[in-house]
Amino acid sequence: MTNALEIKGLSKEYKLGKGKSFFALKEIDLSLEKGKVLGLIGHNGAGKSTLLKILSRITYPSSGEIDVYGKLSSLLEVGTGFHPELSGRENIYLNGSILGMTKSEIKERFADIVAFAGVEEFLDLPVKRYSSGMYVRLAFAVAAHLDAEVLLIDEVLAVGDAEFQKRCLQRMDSLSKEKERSIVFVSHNMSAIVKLCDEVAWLEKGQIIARGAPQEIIDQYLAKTAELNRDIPVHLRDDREGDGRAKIVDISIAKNKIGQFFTSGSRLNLAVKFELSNAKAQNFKLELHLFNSRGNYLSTFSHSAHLSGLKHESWLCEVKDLNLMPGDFFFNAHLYLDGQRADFVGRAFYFKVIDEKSEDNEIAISRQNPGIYLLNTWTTLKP
Amino acid sequence: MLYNFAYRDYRARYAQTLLGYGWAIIQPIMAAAVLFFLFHNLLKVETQGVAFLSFTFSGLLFWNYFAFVLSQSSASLISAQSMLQKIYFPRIILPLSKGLLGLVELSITLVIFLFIAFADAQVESLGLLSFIPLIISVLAAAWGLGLWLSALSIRYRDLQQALPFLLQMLFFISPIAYSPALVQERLPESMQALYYLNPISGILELFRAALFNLEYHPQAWLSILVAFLLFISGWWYFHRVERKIADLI
Repeated sequence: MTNALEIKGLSKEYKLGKGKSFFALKEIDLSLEKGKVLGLIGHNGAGKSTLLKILSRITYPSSGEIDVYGKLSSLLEVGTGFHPELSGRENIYLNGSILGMTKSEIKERFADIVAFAGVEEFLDLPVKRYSSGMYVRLAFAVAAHLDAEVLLIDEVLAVGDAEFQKRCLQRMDSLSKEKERSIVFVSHNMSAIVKLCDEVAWLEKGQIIARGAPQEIIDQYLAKTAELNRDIPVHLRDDREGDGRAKIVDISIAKNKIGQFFTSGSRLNLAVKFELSNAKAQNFKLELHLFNSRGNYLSTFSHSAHLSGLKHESWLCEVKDLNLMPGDFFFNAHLYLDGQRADFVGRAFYFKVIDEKSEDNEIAISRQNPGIYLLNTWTTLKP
Repeated sequence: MLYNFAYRDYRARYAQTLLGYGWAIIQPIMAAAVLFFLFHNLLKVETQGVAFLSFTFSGLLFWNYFAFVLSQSSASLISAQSMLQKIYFPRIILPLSKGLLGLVELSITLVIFLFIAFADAQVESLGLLSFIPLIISVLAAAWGLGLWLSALSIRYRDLQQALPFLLQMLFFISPIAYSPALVQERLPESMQALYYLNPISGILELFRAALFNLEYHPQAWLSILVAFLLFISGWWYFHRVERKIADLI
């Protein structure tokens, strides 16, 4: 059992002027075993990205010690270092070299990178002509073939389609299991963390407040998060992501109900309102991702349309038959303008489903992982 | 990696342009034409007895490279902000790569210069060899100042405003389209050395002396010393602030 990474007493202090200062990280102690994947979770501003930046030598700690055994590479943002005017082929070489690969290493892995990204036909096209999906795939593909002993990955799975996300996870998994690469992985995607990580550290206000088995830490984290965000209305939330061209200002239950309780099988009418900045855009796409209290993804309600040109857009989403088992649920709200993410609010809206049959309630509560009822009928089969 | 960064800029610079390399040809020729009209026809300045076009173009050859490398390297950190905050690589590569990038236009200008010089003036072919150590000295000066300015402009963005103005001043006080004697005659003996604190002055004088077989001021060598001092101090300062770049930019 050897360590790939050791961090002792690491602090990062930012001077704010007038003798005030702020600790982005405070006395962090962490170690990562060779071939293991460590997940970092925590709310925005907790210090996850600062920690990765320090480990990648982009910024330097105020005090503390870091030992890295072997080569370290990082992918903190997909596609930085890509030049829009250059072709896919040129960008692979360029980006590979900036990320620390030698020319012969890149040559050797070139075919793999291209195949992984699935951009064979577009290799000689400038990447500014790529669709955003292709761009992201190519960028991740280069990073995924870095072959460093320690790999740092920050929230790259927030982009790309589901199929590609799955391949990224598989790639990271095989890197750690087969090639004994060690990975530090930051994500807000809890199911990805559970699937991939051997251990999870929870960072809050620059300190590690819990560390241990993924599911256990994530449960604690989600419980805390639910508590924190539950009562803040959407328009007051400031932990948003996206480029800010539009803002989701209201998600509420329309028409039929008061309060946020539903009985299983009832109707759910959600009114969603968003506000546009002055940026020009033609189309929007709203996505509401449904999760249960455990943070497991269940379904997506999405809608795209042309923008009306008004400052505000309001839409009604109707779910006729809310076939959910009793429990707590929430939506993550995503808003895209012309295919680029403009706004994202995690846990934007909570609701509770109860069942008239109390024994079903008890089962659901004891499992704390409510799912969906699917219509099913049973008949005897003749022997 | 230095080469890769330069190649990236090089491709971006000529992507989707109508004239491409044409710009590298047109710019110095137009500049020489304007200077010819102003300094030769109107002001009738003295050029050490060398044909005006050859004289001036030898100046532009060095000046254009100097100005290009200096302005590009000074802005190199600020224009790569997002990269500096997301990727680790030795930061010094950014300003240094601009020296490599400038070679593209330098070689085009050099070819034009050779055509003009051989057609227009008495040239010592062996003197051409001095081009190599002297252009390296100019590069050292441009890199040195570029390292200083790029590192300083992380904190003080006004330097980016001041730079075009500084370059313009420097252009006029450097003996590019006129003989250095014009200035030196008016300086007292004790101040002569000061003139060579501007690295361009001495380096140009030495190049012209070798190429056109001219006399040169014994203190012209001072410029080369200044150039390398700038480079060494710039390198030192850049490394001193390197760690803070991502936090401050």
